[in-house]
Amino acid sequence: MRNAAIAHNVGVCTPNNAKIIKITELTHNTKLFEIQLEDEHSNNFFDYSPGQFVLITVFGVGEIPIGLTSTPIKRGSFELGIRKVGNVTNKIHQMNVGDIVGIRGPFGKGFPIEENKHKDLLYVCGGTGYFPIRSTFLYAIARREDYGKIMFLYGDRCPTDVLFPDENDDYKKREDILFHQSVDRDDDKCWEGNVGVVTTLFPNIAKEIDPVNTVVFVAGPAIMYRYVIIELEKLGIKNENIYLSLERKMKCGIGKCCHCGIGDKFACLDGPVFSLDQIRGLLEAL
Amino acid sequence: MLSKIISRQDLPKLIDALTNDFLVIAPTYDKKVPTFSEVESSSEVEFDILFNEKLPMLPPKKVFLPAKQTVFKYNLIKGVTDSCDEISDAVTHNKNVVIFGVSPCDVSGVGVLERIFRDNYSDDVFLRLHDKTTIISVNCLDHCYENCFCETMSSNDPKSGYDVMLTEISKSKLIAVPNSDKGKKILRDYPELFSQISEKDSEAYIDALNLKNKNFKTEFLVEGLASHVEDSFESEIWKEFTEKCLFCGSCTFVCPTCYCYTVKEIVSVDLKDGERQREWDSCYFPEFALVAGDHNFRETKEQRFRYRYLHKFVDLPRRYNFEGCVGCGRCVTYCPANIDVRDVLKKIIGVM
Ligand SMILES: Cc1cc2nc3c(=O)[nH]c(=O)nc-3n(C[C@H](O)[C@H](O)[C@H](O)COP(=O)(O)OP(=O)(O)OC[C@H]3O[C@@H](n4cnc5c(N)ncnc54)[C@H](O)[C@@H]3O)c2cc1C
Ligand code: SF4
Ligand code: SF4
Repeated sequence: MRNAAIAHNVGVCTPNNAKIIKITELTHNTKLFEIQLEDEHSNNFFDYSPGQFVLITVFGVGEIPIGLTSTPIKRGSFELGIRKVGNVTNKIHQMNVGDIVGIRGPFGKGFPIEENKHKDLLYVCGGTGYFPIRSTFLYAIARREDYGKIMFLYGDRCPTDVLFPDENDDYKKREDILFHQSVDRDDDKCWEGNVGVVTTLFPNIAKEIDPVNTVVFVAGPAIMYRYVIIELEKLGIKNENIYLSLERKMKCGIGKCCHCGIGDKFACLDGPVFSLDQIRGLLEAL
Repeated sequence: MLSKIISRQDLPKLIDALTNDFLVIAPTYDKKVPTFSEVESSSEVEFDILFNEKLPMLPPKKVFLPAKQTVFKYNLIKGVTDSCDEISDAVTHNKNVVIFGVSPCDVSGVGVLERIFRDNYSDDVFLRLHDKTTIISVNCLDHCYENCFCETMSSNDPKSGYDVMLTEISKSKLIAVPNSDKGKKILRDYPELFSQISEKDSEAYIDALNLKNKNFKTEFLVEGLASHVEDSFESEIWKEFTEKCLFCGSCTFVCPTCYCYTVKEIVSVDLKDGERQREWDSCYFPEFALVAGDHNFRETKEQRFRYRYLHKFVDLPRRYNFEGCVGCGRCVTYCPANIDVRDVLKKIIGVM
């Protein structure tokens, strides 16, 4: 786990002032924000593992946890993908390039990507779960030769919700990545690909799976996990090789405020990424 | 010897001397309720709270983790302007703090919080206040009241977490045992109030400790409690207590080891500046685990009632090697629904 190195100059409870340097509209309710710490020196120390998160403050409105969606390979700035769902996220969506936000973190344990070199990687994500998954996926394809097969299953609600369509098209064209995508519903009949929940994509990769050598990274809505786990177990993948990112309410990010408690663990300290093995021993996890 | 004797009638003089150099917090009555508050002179201190064994309603956690507290200040456009260090220094008027008259169980409670706020990532807001504080504890030689079960929770003999321990060795004398650099400094800095220990005093001290050892009794066995609680996850016992509970959160607020908090943004009327406030929260409140889209990770009252016990008696012991309870009995005293933490635990263990 990497430490919150940037936190030291102001203390871990006070956000670092940071500037929005680029905003990309992804869908009608989702934007990608590129962010740089105001203190330039600190940007060099802003290191993280894919799957870790930051707490972003909109001054005067509030502070929320958001997973890092860029790769730590790229230094100097980082990206957060944010879906509009409530107070803070609505306000972030009204902000402009140059506006100041607060950043604390990075916090938590991410996906064990460096630890699983030479393994086959299977990514499964739904909705905003794409964001933390994208960080570890970009990391793996930047070091393509370090990994075996790379498989990616992504489902979203409807065609207008699909994140990063251009990037996805590029991945689909690549021969060294198996990228499959689906939407739950296609009411306007404008989607050419697979229609159905993310688990309907599993037949596409079933033959490619070497259950002993595959590590799975999963992120998405809680309801998705149950069904995905069933599919993964059908493929014979062991619980210890399945990693899921769990969402909980968080106010501190450092194991103090207790909002993210799950059984005898805290999502912010011990997670948000847990192995399915760990989750099996956790009361109230899924 | 580093330990010294102070006469009981000199305690007010000690308080007055301390108020010259420190911000002093001591037991007082606030509308007849025993309370820790800031005092300017010894005349405000109610020594009978200490020596007639009454526990202040709120434990000393309120000094380091106040019910409401400013974490930092900001400008809505420019971001953070004042850090927590500057703010907490202003709160204590740039002085160091003495808390006088902390009971051993409350010392243990502060110890629990200190460890939690120091470990993993150090919480600078808590520690800034904690680390500038000297704790002068007054020893208990017997259970202070019927709700106290400190012996059961092994909290009445803290090994650290206090700076000076005052133990009554006779009606007129106390022995002052320093337990840290800060404590030794107190005894050195006010030499006129402390005298050398005689052989008779040493004997009286041993007698007092023996009396303490004899007086304190355990009520039930804590060994193996974590697995009892975890194994009782699906038990009907939770239902029984959930039906009685009002979910008012009083038990969590008065508890020396409950530390959940939430944060709020307070914005000035001109919408230019604001501050983040840290505020006590309670895992008994329905919003505690509620997230966007109306999804609640602890939806039922039973889950919420149970979680407090899971956290105190399973999570904390495994993570830190101590229970999240020091047996002070405050939650028993202040529960409007007459729920007794000891009854819950005894039923879980199967001895009631
Ligand atoms: C580790 C982690 C990573 C996340 N990554 C992303 C991401 O990459 N992109 C994204 O769009 N969203 C992400 N989320 C969810 C995001 O935190 C919530 O959408 C956000 O908190 C909603 O805040 P709000 O003020 O707009 O909503 P409101 O409904 O107004 O929320 C009020 C408060 O409740 C809490 N809260 C509400 N929903 C959530 C939630 N789902 N999780 C945690 N706390 C919540 C927050 O403290 C918030 O301030 C992540 C959550 C976690 C825990
Ligand atoms: S004080 Fe009593 S009634 Fe109130 S939340 Fe605690 S147990 Fe329930
Ligand atoms: S749980 Fe009750 S008895 Fe135990 S420390 Fe907290 S208030 Fe005191």
